[in-house]
Amino acid sequence: MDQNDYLTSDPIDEAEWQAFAVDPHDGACVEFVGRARGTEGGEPIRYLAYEAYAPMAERVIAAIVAEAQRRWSLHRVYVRHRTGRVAVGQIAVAVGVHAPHREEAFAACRFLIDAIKCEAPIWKVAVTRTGRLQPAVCNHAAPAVREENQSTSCSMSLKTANV
Amino acid sequence: MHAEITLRLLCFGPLVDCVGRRELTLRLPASASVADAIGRMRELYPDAAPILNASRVAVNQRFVSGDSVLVAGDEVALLPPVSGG
Repeated sequence: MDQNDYLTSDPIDEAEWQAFAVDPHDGACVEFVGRARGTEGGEPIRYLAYEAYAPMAERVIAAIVAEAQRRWSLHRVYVRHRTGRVAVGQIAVAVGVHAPHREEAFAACRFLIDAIKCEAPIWKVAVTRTGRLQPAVCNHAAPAVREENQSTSCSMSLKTANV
Repeated sequence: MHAEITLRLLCFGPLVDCVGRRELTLRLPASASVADAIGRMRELYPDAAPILNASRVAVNQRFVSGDSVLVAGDEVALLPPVSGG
């Protein structure tokens, strides 16, 4: 599946992903849906606000999707990431894959969400009743290959990412 | 050859609060590197130094290393540690 827009300022509808036909060769459909939690650091929040360097985020996510398709046999990959204000309980990010077997489907879905969280230039702020909170940055470990100029706390593998 | 180059800098995330703006123009000597641009930003915005030290840099939407040479008109994005998802 070719997907042009991974970012959206509109609410993410799970039905969009679930409506895709499943290829007869695919026995595994795995999805990850991330929703805005009602608390951040123990403090109740009003909403999350996502800011993105949109054109680059689209390219980075496209490269992550391409990397997942290179590593695993995937017939369909779905990614949607919110920008703007996301109310508590609303979907902030959704990732889905169709693959022949569950091992590759789980692995690909995990790779996709972890890499997107670590690599895509997107920033989240939790807004509370008392002001803004800056949530902790991505801290996924287990780097496989480090990119040049890797100075953040995160270093997911994107060795073929041409972004 | 021009003695100076003009760059468009974009700030994101917590860097916006430190710098006070999302976008600015920077003039640097010709053949300046990404590290030179970061160094100039540290001089201009000392409070932003900790975030700049932790930031990655993209030029024209591609991640680059500190020794990459900049050319006039480059769009330089300063990307603090991300927090998507």
